[in-house]
Amino acid sequence: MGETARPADREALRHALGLDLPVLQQWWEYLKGIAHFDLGKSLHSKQAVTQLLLDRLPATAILSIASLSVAIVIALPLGILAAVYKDSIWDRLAMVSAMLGVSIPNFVMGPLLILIFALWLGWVPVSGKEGLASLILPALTLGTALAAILSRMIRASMLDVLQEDYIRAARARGLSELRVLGLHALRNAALPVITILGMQLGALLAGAVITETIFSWPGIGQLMIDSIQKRDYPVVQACVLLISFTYVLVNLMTDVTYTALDPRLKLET
Amino acid sequence: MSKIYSIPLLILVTWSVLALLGPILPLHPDQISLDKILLTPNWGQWFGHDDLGRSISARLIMGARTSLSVAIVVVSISLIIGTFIGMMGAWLGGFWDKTLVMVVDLFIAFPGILLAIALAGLLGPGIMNAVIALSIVSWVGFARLARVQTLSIKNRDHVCAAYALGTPSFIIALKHILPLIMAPLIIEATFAFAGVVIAEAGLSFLGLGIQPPSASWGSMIRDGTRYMLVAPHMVLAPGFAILSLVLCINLLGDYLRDKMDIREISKV
Repeated sequence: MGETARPADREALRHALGLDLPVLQQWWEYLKGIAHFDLGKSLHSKQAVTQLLLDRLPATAILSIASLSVAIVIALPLGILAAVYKDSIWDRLAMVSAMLGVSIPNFVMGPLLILIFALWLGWVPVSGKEGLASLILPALTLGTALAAILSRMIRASMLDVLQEDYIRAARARGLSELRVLGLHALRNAALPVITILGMQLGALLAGAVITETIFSWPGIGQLMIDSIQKRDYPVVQACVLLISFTYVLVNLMTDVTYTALDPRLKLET
Repeated sequence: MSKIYSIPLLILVTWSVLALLGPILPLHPDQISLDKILLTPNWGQWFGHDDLGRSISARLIMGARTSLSVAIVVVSISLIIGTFIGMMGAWLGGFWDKTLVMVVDLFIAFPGILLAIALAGLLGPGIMNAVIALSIVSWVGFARLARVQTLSIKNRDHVCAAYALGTPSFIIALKHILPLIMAPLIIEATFAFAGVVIAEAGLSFLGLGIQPPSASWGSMIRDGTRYMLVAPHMVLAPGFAILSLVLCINLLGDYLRDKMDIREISKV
């Protein structure tokens, strides 16, 4: 509807969208809708918002899981090496890469990776979602940023644990270093890291919004940015709601698994 | 100050001076010259020209101006408002403190920059709206920190003594509590500054921040991504500008934290 719309038409549209109801009632209707998984209709395409989200959800889920895997694969060895060989070249390397990782925003990292691996080397597609190869760059963009933070956390946590008596006891019993680190140290060091990981997932999901835009990855984030540009408010609202809900849910789950991983916590409470 | 930290400080000062002098210098960041479109870096223009033939080095300087001024405004607003609200909550306690914690929790439920993107989207594109959106998101960190710090200091002897002598609350807050909680807040502000620089560039990258023809590093990268094959310098120049600024601020923040010996604040 343009600027020159007649008042009668305007009122008709306001009524159709429910904007003539009191704000509280609008809010109540919206909450009732959510309870029925009904998030309203897109102003632009007139499709049900729930359906739009469901269509985009798998792409974002795949990207998040891939980025998380990339982050763990990089951060775990780097963090452990940095802790075991403290103040060595590995420690320095971990420190420098962590500093770079938090300082390079993903909208710089993304184009940089595209430039090197897609345009100059031609190994992977530039953008879009065609097969596994197109997943590599977006997952690297998001994963490296997370890995930077994660490796610092793993290092700090491992350093704490390595001073414990049970590590010395395990070494005294003549266990191999691999067994000491992997079985005795890592399991104990994992606890605080898992909490941080849950909290960092928020940064990952928010980063996905920008990363999906860079790589034209058809996920929730791209849907959100497209909808912002089209002023499709119900869809924007639903995207924010879904991402935040996932974030809160994951943090709740980390809190629950925490007691499962560390029986001591159950005894204390 | 050890020698190694003079380099990031130097880079930071250089960017600030360039940003301050930007309007005085003989720059033409918006001048379109069709004969120079997508010209790669050369001796006259170290960073080349963009898709409209505008000088990228001039736009980088104007971008620094945008970036730094947005960051200064947002961090100042959220530092003052956040500290005030956080201290009030801790000082008053009871109902007000519970309300504060509830509101803060509400904000924290939205991950990172997501809320800023959504708010900037709802308010409509524009630099003023970006500042509002970023301020709404970033006061929370300061409020949380100020609350915890005030709680730990509230019952110290000197505060109780001042209270017993009948000193008005706001003078106690200003003279007896604020100086003691300032150090961690300053460190937090340093990292928040780096965060806001990235967030502003991110919003501009998405087209929600500054509007053309004004320059921002984020919007320069967005324009550059369309010409990456022929003119990679359009992405690389602003990319490394952001990297240099954010890296320097983070390094200096680390230095300050070590210097002031504050452990509670985790980086990130």
